[in-house]
Amino acid sequence: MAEQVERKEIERLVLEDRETEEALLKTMNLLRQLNRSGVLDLLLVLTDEEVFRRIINLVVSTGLMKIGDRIDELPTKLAQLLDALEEPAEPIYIYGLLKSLQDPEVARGLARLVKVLKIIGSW
Amino acid sequence: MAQKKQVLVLGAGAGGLIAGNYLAANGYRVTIVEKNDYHLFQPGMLWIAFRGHDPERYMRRVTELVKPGVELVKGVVTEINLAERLVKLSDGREFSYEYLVVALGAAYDYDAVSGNRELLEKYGDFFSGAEHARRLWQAFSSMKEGTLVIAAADPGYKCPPAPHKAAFLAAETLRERGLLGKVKVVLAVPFVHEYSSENIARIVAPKLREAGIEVKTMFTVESIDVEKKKLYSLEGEELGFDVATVIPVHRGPLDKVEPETAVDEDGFFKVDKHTLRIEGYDDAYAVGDCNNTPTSKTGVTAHLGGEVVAERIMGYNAVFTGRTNCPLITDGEALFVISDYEHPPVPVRFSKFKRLLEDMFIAMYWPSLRDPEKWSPLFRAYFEATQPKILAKLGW
Repeated sequence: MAEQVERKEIERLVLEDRETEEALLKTMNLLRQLNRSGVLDLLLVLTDEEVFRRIINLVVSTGLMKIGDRIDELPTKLAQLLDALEEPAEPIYIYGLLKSLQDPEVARGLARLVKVLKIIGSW
Repeated sequence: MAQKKQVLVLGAGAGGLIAGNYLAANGYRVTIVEKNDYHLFQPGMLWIAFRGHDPERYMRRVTELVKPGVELVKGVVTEINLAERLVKLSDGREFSYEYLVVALGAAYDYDAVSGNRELLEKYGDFFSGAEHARRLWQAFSSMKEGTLVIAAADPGYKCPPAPHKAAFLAAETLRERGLLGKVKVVLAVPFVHEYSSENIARIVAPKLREAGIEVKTMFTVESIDVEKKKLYSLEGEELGFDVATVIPVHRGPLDKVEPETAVDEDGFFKVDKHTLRIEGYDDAYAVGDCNNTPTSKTGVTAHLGGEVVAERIMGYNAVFTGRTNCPLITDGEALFVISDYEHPPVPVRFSKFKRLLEDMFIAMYWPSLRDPEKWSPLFRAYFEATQPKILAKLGW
């Protein structure tokens, strides 16, 4: 009974609703263009179960999960870095470097840099 | 070629549908017995009860969720005789089987705590169906002041973060309406800390404070006086309320199982925790909330258990690890409570990304029930990438 009501609603939408008609026409045009350009064939390959499995295994990894988890913080941190890079800076030498290490943020930055070097060294 | 064996699946919840559809996709003759016409996405009850969502959003007809070729029988299972390989329904019908998969979920005992049935009838709850969740929404959304208490009658309830999610969603609704503070949200938990796992409690506690939720620890509801609007705890304390909901005591799903030794004192099926085979029987399995595995009762354990059982019937050496992945959702963020038999919950942080993942899991829920064999690679890749043994070292 419920299925019949649903079917009738679909029939009504397809046959009588202008917005549905317009949306269907646009979809048909999109499909034709995708077919003509060959993109549809590419998309069909993605529906192959073996290809789907290979893509999933390539993409879904611990690393990606960890990067994804921080992705909302990346733009802010990158913007801070870009701001710092754009600011005019006087060259500093050994004495200046030692002096700037009195700033706890610089000292923490150096500690982080050492950690990054350690990771790069382990590759 | 010999015809593949016949499998009788009891229950069309997540575990039953996944096991049944997986086996049907591999040529097995599958019969599923289910008492309801509709399958309810159970976490949806939280959104119905505390965000006022339309229940239809979380329901699908069972007929839409079984693969063509699966025989769907509507009926109420009343008895299982494992020695005779016989299942009886309330209308007298009987079914025999070559393989049995019990996926009947847990039953709720509202009479185990005095006053809880009366409380359910008055305010509804977010555990026992869309109608009760709707009733709770009516009671909660009409509050202009007073105290909403979310509590539990036993620490062994399914979906361990459910009451926390309920509190976060309730606080979110009240904040939007400018009523948070006038209406106080109290989360009473039967644990020493804010969450059963101390690792997770440490992460959740500041979020609860930030959301303006008051937490009462070591409060296991022992009795309820609906007229006086008081909850009394086993630990000897009391809590007043204007609207309250108490998660009921859970039990096994059937009163009659032969032999009686197949179930524990609470009626849960005793299974081998790695194979989910009912103790003493090599042709019968119990999946999800109805078994006694020492892991949380959650949708993910039912999902993974359903796959393991299907694969074992197919002759593979599939192993159930007890993996959990319970989402704990706040306003715009989530974390997953990730553990297995060998690892306690891993400390993971709240993030927007995890909330997005949870939204994606919810979107994939319906297709993954009907076509588990197609979606399995994706879930496997996710569970591999987020194994507790890996995340315990790397964090997430």
